[in-house]
This record gives sequence, C-alpha cells and structure tokens, in this order.
Amino acid sequence: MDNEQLKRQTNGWAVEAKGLVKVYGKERAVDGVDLVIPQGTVYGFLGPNGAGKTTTIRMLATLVQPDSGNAYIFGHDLKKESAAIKSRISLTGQYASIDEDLTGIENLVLISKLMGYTSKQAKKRAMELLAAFGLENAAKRQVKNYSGGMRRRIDIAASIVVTPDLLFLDEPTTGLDPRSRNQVWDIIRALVKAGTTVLLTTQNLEEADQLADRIAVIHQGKIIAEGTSSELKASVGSGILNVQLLHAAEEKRAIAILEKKLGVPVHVASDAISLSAQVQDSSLVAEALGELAREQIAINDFSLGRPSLDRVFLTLTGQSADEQPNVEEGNL
Amino acid sequence: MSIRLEHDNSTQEEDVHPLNAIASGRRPDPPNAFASTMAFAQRALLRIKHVPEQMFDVTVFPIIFLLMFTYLFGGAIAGSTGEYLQFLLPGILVMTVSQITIYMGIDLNNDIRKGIFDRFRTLPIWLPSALVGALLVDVIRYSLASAIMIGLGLLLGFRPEGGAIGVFGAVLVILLFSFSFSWIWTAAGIVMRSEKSLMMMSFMIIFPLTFVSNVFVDRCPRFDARQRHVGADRLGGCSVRCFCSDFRAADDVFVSEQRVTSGSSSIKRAVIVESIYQHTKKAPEENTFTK
Repeated sequence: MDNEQLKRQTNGWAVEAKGLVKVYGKERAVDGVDLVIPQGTVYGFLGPNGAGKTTTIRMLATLVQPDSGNAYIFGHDLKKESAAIKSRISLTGQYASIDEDLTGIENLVLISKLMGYTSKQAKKRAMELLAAFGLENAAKRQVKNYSGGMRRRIDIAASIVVTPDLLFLDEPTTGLDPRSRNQVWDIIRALVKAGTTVLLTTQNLEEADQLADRIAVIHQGKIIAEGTSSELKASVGSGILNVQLLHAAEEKRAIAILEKKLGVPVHVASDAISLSAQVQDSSLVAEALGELAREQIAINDFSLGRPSLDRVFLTLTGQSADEQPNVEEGNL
Repeated sequence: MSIRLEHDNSTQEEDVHPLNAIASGRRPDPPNAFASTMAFAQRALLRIKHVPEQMFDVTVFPIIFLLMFTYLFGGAIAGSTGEYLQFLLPGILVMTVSQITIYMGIDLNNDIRKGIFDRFRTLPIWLPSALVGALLVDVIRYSLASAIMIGLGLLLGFRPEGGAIGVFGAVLVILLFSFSFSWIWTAAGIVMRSEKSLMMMSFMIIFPLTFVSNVFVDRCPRFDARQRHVGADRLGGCSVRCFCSDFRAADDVFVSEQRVTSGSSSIKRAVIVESIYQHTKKAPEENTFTK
C-alpha cells in the first residue's frame, strides 16, 4: 500500500478519478467521469448549470460518496482515506460558505481555530489574510454587509487559512463585476504560484481560457471534451461567421453559397435572415462573402466571432447551452 | 500555461496583494474534539452577540406566556390565579423550552443551505462538534429561560413544594429532555427543504402536543383530589408529567426518542446525520438557494 501510494505520488497527480457516478433519483448527475489533474496546475470544469460540475467537485471533496467509480487525491483513496484527504484539500462553494452574521475577522478566526491554531495564532493568521485580501477595513463588519466581491474574497481567504494542496473553487466569479473578477483571478494565480493545485468550475469560456491549463467540458454528467483551451477552440473551429441578409427571400441561395464555399453546415435563425456557420478556416470567409456579393445577395451585417461557450456546446453536443434544461428533460 | 495580464494595468492601489499571506507555513495539527467543540460554541455565542433578537425566545416570550395564561385563564381553569400558577408553571416551563429546541434545527438547516456546513465537513475536525458546540450554548439558553420563568413565578407567588432541590432537579430533567428533543429538529433540519417548512412542521407537532398534554389543564377528571396527593413531588413530577404521565402517545414518542439519543453516542448520531445528508435528493444549495 505504501509503495503504491508512493508510486502514485511520484506520478504527480493531484487527482486521479475513474468512472465517477452519482445518481439522484432518476437523474444521473455525474455519469462516468474520468479525470487526471497534474499537481500544481489549474484545471477547469466548463459547463452550464446542472451539467454535473458541482456534484463532481463535491464527490472529490469527500462531501458526497460516489455511487460507483473511485478517485485518488494525492494518492489517497477517496472512499477509505477521507481524513487524509481532508487535511490536504479546501473547498470554496458556489455561495459564500461563511457565517454571514459574523464579522470577517470572526469568520477567519473560527476557521483558523478549526484548523488547529491556538487563539493567538488564529488572530494573527486572520489579520494576515484580511490584509492580504484588502479587507482590513471591513474586518469588523458582518459579512452580510459585504459586497459580492468582498464575500468572494473572504470566502477564498477562509479556504486558504492553511494553504491547501488542492483547492476546489466552485464558480468563483459568477455574479461578480469585472473588477472583482480580476481580483479573484489574481488570487487564484498567486495561489498556483505558491504551489496549490486548483480545480475550478465555470460557465464562462473566457475564465477557463484565462486561468486553466486544461479544461474539461461537462455535459449531462459526462466529460464530452478535454484539453487545453486552444485544443478545445480548434475542435470547434476557428470562429463563427454570422451573416444577416437584407431579404429573407434570398435565404436558400445564400445558404447554398455559404455551405459550398465554407464547406460546413449553415444554421438559420427563426427570422430567416440570420445565418451562422462554424468556420474551420477563417481565410475562407472573405471568399464566401465575395461570392455572396457576386451573386448580388444583399447583406445587412456580418461578423466573425471567436468561439464562445455557447458555440463549444453547439458544436460538441449539437445543442445550445441555454437550451440545456429542456434537453435534459427530454432525454430522461 | 497562458496567463494574460492585460488587466493588471488597470489595477489601483487598494488592489489585493495576496502573495504575501498565501503560504501559511507549517500546517498545525488538527484540533482535538474539545477544541473544535469550543470553537463552535464560541461561534454560537458570537451569533447571539450579533443577532441579539434571537434571545427574545428565551427572555420575553416565557414572561408573556406565563403572565397571559396565569391571569387570562387562571381564574377560569382553576378557580384562582394563584392556584393555577402553582399548576401551570412547571408545564409552561417545559412548553417554552421545547419550543426553543426548534432553533437548533433551523440553524443547522441554514448552515447546510448556505453552504457553510460543506466547509465544516471538509475540515479535518471531529464533525459532531459543530452540533455539540451549538448545543452547549443552547443549554445556556434553556437554563436562562428556566431561570427567568421560575424567578418570575416566585415573584408572582409560585411556591414549589419540592424546594430548591426539587426545582434544580426539574430544570435538569428539562435540560435532558430538550437536549433529546432537539435531535428531532436536527434530523429534520437536514432533510427539510427550507427554514419555513421546518418551522411549519415543528409547530404542527409541538402545538397540538402541548395542548392535548396536561401543560394547561389536567385532563384527569379527579384534578383536585390528585393535586392534593401529589403534593411534595409536584415540580419535579410536573415537568415530566405533562409529556409522560397522561398523554400516552406523546409519552411513547418522547421516551423512545430519549432512548435513542441517550443510548447512542454522538458519533453514531453523526453517522445518522451523515447518511441522511448523503441520501437527500440533491446538494442542498443546488435546489433551494434563491439568491
């Protein structure tokens, strides 16, 4: 056992999961997730609400037991060694998991004491963290009076009272304004620099793009794509071409031309004048638009956008991320 | 790793510099059960400090109830307010304290829904200390409520025939009873969807039970004769009386609950709590959190 553990640790995996499944009633919230996360990296879970991101994190953080499959956290068996795992991980939940009735400093002192610090050490550590996270002035205010960004920061501060080896961040920036979001990103980067492995979930491709070394796209409890952000983008093409026609009557001709020139299927919106296509090679776009002009099909507007999360989903699942809840019901 | 730092240009002086404090140094040894229990007890005390309104239940309500029932119904039920107070006080003591026990479940329900309980569960601590610590502070609340009511009762003319020892014994019985009773709400607090539904359920249980029990009226037809004979043992007996001696159904429920709680260790309870938690339909915050 010791040898095996040692071997696992030298493999350098922070997380090694195989076939994780969690079923709630009829719903397979997580449906066979395989995962390896190298130590010292940031791993991003990308997916819409209800995709199974949070449930996966809760399993890996020992909060719920998998119905089948297992995982090793730094070589520790998730099912048998949860105590050893707990001493190396930390979780920042989707909503500020701190006592809102208490002040910022009281919260941090409480967590510090629960980590094993004496009262004196706990106070010192709490002050250190408040200063580092720019919350000194709010130290004696109840957390319920904090802004969204401040809550997030105190929440993360509580998670790193003792620097964890693996930090789970469940949608760390959802609902934050851009400035607070950047602050949280800076914190995450600093943590990684200090040697912490981070597993974060997000609904936002840009966030995954900014932070994560590798990204897993989760859909209906399964990982449907995995790789670096550039690999993922490559898999969904270099961008999306949106063309808005002036006359709906020319729709069919326009589609035929675009499909021929771009070599990919063209989607039509319900208004019958907005066409969109996933472009593999952006150099074809100019040619396609030129062809439309030669055929005298009038264009109201066009744009070439980078792939969005929505587009990743459209391509990988054939459905839009926004339509997810309906789709899941349909499949059950 | 492709880090982009464009936004760094826009950061201002109050921005965070977390790097300095991120490394915590050596990880301390996990706290023992006593230390973590004390930390949680301190949390409960701090909550009282910040939300003092919650102390109304143990201070103002008992006084209102006692005055109201004594002077509003006392004459009608027992002939004179003084005589009724003699009968009512032990019962209303039990009623008040059992109602306070609900808050244990409500606090836990809130902790779970808001996600703070998830944080506790990922800490390397003896998990039941989260509940035991809160219970310790609750014992203070229960004692305070009892002291206030007995004090007021004495002022109004209540004369316990069991004497100081009898009163003390009665309070101990009440503490034990409420400690056992609160586990019902603790378990309910884990499975119920919201604070409101938990409130609803607990009132649906507590109110009918209180009124069909002999807290307010002795349902025994030989009310007067019995009163005289029970005499000396009245207070100690009365506090258990209202739930145990007359009302059979309540008796069974509470006695078996007492047996469950006192028979099994806290660890066992934690296991029950944990397994209920595991089998609740979803992660609590996923289905109920609204904001």
